Amino acid sequence: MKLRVRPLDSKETLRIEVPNGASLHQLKEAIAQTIQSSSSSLRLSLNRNDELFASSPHEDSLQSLGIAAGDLIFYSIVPSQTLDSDSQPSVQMEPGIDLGRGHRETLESPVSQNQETLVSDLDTLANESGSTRDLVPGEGSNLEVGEGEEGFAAESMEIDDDDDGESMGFLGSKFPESCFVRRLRRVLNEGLGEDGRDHKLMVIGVHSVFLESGFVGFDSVSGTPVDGCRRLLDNWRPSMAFTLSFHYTLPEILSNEGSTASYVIETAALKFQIMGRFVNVFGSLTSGGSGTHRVCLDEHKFVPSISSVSSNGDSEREVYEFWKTVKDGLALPLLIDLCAKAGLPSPPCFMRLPSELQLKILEFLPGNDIARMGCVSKELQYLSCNGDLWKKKFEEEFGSKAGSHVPFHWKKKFATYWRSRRQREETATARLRRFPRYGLPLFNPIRRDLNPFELPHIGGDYDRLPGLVPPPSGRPGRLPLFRRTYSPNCNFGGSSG
Amino acid sequence: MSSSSTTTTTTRLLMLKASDGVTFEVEEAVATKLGAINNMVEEEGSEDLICLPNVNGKFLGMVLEWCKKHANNNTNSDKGNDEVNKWWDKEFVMDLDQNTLYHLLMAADYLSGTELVDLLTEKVASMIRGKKVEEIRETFKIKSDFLPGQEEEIRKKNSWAFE
Repeated sequence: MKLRVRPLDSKETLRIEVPNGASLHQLKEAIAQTIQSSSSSLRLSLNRNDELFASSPHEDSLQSLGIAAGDLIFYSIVPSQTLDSDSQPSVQMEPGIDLGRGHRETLESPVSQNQETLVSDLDTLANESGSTRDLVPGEGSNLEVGEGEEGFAAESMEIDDDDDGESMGFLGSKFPESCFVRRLRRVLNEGLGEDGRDHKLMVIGVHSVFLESGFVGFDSVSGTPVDGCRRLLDNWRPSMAFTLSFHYTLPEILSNEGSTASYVIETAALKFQIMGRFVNVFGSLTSGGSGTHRVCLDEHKFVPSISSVSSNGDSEREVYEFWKTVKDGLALPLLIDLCAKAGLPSPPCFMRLPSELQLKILEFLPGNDIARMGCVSKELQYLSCNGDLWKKKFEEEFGSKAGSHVPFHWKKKFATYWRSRRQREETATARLRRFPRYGLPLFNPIRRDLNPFELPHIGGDYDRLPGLVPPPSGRPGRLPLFRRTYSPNCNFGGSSG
Repeated sequence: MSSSSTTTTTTRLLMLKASDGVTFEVEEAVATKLGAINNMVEEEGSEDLICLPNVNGKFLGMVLEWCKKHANNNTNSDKGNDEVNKWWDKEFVMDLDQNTLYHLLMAADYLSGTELVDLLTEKVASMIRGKKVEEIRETFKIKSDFLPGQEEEIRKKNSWAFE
C-alpha cells in the first residue's frame, strides 16, 4: 500500500510504498531508508499524539494498527539515548506542537495487553479535553474542544488536497461527519475527563451508538434517567473487576410511566467484559426473555480511530465499521426487544433498519437517486458513499470494461460518466430541437435541397408535412430562417446520397 | 427417512413459535423456503418445534403466507409460475404500510428469506425512486441534520444527480 509520511515539524510530505501485509517495523525501516535515519529512533503517529507501536517487533501488521492505504503518518526522530526503546510507548512526540496541553514529564510503563495498565496515550486526550475545558468553561465547552483542535484537521486536510484528496473518497477527511461521529466526539470529550483508558474508550463508543439509536441512559438504582455518560461511568472504578453494566431505556417508556400506576420501567442492560484486547459486550433485557445479544470488539482495531475522532481525526472507515457492528449487533435487536416487551409500537423506520438492509435498498436505485438520497441527512450521506455500492452502480450503468484500478473512486467516476452521457444526450436533443424533423428518425436521409422554395415537391418532408411547405403565410418570417439553418444541416445526417 | 406408507403425502409438519407465543403449523416444504429454518431443520433433524424469539407472530404469519404461496405456485403448475408469483408479489407488497414493511423486512432478513428480502427492499426502493430530497425526507420522516450551508455544499457536489 501507499502511505504518506510527514515529519511533525514541517509540511514536507513523502510518499512511500510498503507491501500490503507489512509490519510496523518494516514501515519504519522504509521511512528510515528514505530519510536516511535509523529506524529505531523513529516515532510514528497517526494523529501526532499517540504513537503507533507494535506489541512485538515483527508481528503487528499495519492493518491491525488501523492503517490503510493513503493514510498520513507523522514521524519524529528522537535522540539516540532512547534507541533501544522500541517497546516504550508514547515518547513525547514534539513539544513544539502543543495545544495548551501540559508537558508530560514521565514516560509511562510499557503498555501491554494487560487490562490493568494505564494507557498513556489517553492521558494526552484527557489532558487535552481537560485543559481546553478550563479555557472555555460552560455549556458550549464540548463544541469548543472540537473547534480548538480544528487546527489539526485543517492542516491534514490541506495535505489531502495537494494529494488528490478526492481519490480518497470514502476515507477522505473532507467527508462530512455523521451524526454518530459528532455524538461520539461530544460524549468522548465529556467522558474522558479523568483517567482515560482503551477500555473506557470502547465503552464510551458503544454508549454513543446507543444514544444515537434512540436510547437514554438509566440509573437502575435511583430509577431515573441519566444524562450523559459521566454518571454511568462513575460507577466504574478502573481497579474494579471488568464487568461493568449500563442500563438503557427509551424516552417513550419513561413518558408512559405516569399513566399506569405500578409500571415497571423496562430497561436493557449492557454488560462489558474485557478479555485482553477484546471487549465483549452482552446486551439483554433486564427482565429477561428474548435472549442475549453479543458483539466482540477488538481494541487494537478501533481504539486508534475512535481516539482520533476526539481530535477530529480522519480514520472514519473504522469508526463506521464500529458503529455498524454495534448498531446492527446490539442496539437494534435490543430496541426491538425492548419495544415488544413494553408493548410499544414498533420502532422500525427507515433510519433504524440495519445498515446492511439500507445498503441493499440503495442497491436497487439508479445512481442519481442514490446521490440525492445522500443529500437527505448525514447518516444517509455516510451510507450513500459506500465504494462497493458505487462500483456496482458504475458497472451496471456503464459496463465493467471501463474498470479502474483506483479504489475509492467509484462515485466520482460514476458522476463523470453520468455527466458526459447526459451532455451527449442533451446535444442530441438540442439538435433535434433546433432542426426539428417532426418525429422522423434522426438519421433519416436528408435531401440536398438547394432550392427549397421550388414547388411542387414530391416526397420527403414536404409530402409528409405539407404545412412546412410554403405558402410562407403559414409561418411568416420564421420559415426562411429555418431553411437557412437547414441547409448546412445536411452534413449532420451523415448521409452522402 | 419418513417411514409412513399410509399417508399419501410425504410432507412433514413443523411447528414454528413466534416471540409472542403464537405458533404456526406449516409444511416443511413451505418453511424451508426460509434459509434460517432450512438450516435448523437440517441441523436438528427431527426437531419439530422451532422457536423464533426474534419474530413477532403477526409478521411471522405474513412471512409464512408468502412462503406458502410461493411454495404452492412452484409445485402446482409448471408453466406460468413466474407470472403468478410476480402478480402475487405485487399484491403482497402493494398495501403495506411502512411500519409493517420494515417489520416484515427485518423478519425476512432474520429468517434469511432471500427472495422476500429482495421483494421488500425493492418495495422500499420504489418509494425513493425519482423523489426530490424534500420528498424523501417527508416520506421517511427524516430530519435534515446538516449545518447551515453544509447541505448546499453537498448538493453542489452532487449537482449531476439533480439535472
